[in-house]
Parts: sequence; C-alpha cells; structure tokens
Amino acid sequence: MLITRVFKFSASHRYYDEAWSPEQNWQTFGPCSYPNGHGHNYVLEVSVTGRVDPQTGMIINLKDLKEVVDREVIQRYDHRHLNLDVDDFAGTQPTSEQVAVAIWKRLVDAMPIGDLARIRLWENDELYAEVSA
Amino acid sequence: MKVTLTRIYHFAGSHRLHSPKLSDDANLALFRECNNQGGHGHNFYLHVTVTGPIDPRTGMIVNLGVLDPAIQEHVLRKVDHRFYSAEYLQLSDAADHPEPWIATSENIIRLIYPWAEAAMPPGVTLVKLQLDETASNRFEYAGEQPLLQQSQPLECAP
Repeated sequence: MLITRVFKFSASHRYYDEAWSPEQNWQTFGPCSYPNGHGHNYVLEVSVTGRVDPQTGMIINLKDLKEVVDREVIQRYDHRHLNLDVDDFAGTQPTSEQVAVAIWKRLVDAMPIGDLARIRLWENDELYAEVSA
Repeated sequence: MKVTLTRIYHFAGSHRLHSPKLSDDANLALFRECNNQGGHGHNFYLHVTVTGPIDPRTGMIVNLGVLDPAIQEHVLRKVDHRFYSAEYLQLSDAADHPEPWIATSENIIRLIYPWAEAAMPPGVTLVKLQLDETASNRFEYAGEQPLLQQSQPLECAP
C-alpha cells in the first residue's frame, strides 16, 4: 500500500555548460539554455509505504509528512533559481531527473515512520521523473 | 535507487470493437456501444517511460530533442489520425496471431510497444508504456505479453 501526498513549488532553472560554446549549448539544450533561465510550476508526489497503525489507521500522519517535505524540499526550492540559489546541482544541470534524485536523497532517510517508496516530479503536464527504491 | 523519465505524447485515432468470428448480435452484446458501425474516436495520451544512466554533464537520461523525433517517426506517424480496426488487419492473417485483430487499447498498446522499443536511442531502455484511452481508462504495459510471438516488421498504410 502506498500513501501519496502532492506538493507544489515554483522554481526557475537554466541548462548551460560553461565549458561548451554557445553553439554547442544551443544544439544540446535549445531554448532551455536562454541566458536568464525559465520557470516551471513543479508538482511533487511523495509516496510512502509502511504498516497501517491499528490505533490511528495511518501509515504516516500526513501532517508529519508535510512538515518533513516543507523543511527538506519546499523551503529550499520554492521560488528559487535552481542554478543560482541552490547548491544541489553543481557540476550538472537541474533537469527533472537530477531534481528528482536530489529530492529523493533529501527525503529517503527523513521519514519519521514508514519508508519512502517513490517520488514523482512533474516538470510540466507532459514530463515527469520518478525515483523509487 | 531507480530513476525513470516519462514523456507524454498525444495522438487521435478511432476504432470499432468487432469480431468477424461472432454474430452481429453476439458482437453487440459483447462490445455494446463500442460495436457501433462507424467506430468512434479518442484523444489518446501515450506515456513513454524510459530509464538509463543520467549523463552527469547534461543531467539527462535522454535528451528530449532526440527522443521526441524518434517517437514521432517510430510510433506517432503510425498511429495518429488512423482507424485502427481497418488498418493493421494483416495481424489477423499472421501465422502466430490466430485470433482476428480487434483494436482494443490492450491490443493497440501491444502493437505500439515494439515500435517504441525500436525508437530508443543508444543507452536508453524502455521501461513501460501507459495508454490513456479516456480520462477514466488507462492501460499500462511493460512488454510481458507480445502481440506476435516473433518480432515481425509491421508496416502501416502510407
């Protein structure tokens, strides 16, 4: 059984490798390499698995889950520029895959009860990255 | 830790659920409104889920600038704006496909799967497909029940 809570944050990013020429960046990243970046309304689905506590009927209290995700993810990424305001993506690009991996690493050992089973990060309506155990 | 990327594509198509092996009454009883004479259409959404190593430089499992045209060429070109019950009837004659071709979404997703596999760039692996026939009907498939026992090139109408 999985319980999933959905979170949202808005952030900007840019794909650009300083070691490459502007032409090579354009060829690889297209409009994602525009100088000032661009933004997304990200949707983050956090899924937890575990035993249903017979007293509470819960795998995890969603208020506790929200507190953890707010602290570890939303407060770090929301309304930030992922290249300029966040250290998690040095040496790579803040793609959906890499942001999902960074979120997974921040959350996997932070569950107060139960286990993190899966996260799904929607960059837009047509694209999402998923990390699971 | 397993990481996948899913890209969602859209195509429009139509089908009619009807088996030539059954009487008209039996078809109607089995397929009901999906058996209507002229068929009916859907805006299909195809979720293509892939995996592979994340390139540390680009941060990507696959560049969408490569995946999108590959899916267009290998899949979407063959399914967009088509009537599946009339096309791909050659499946009914295939030696290792003994039953008549009925263009349910279960069969359409199995038809698409080897094409999507062929579209994968080097180093990228297809994990699964999800076909949304409507907002209420979804089909997920990871290749476990091939439509044909042997892989055959399946041509589509020009």
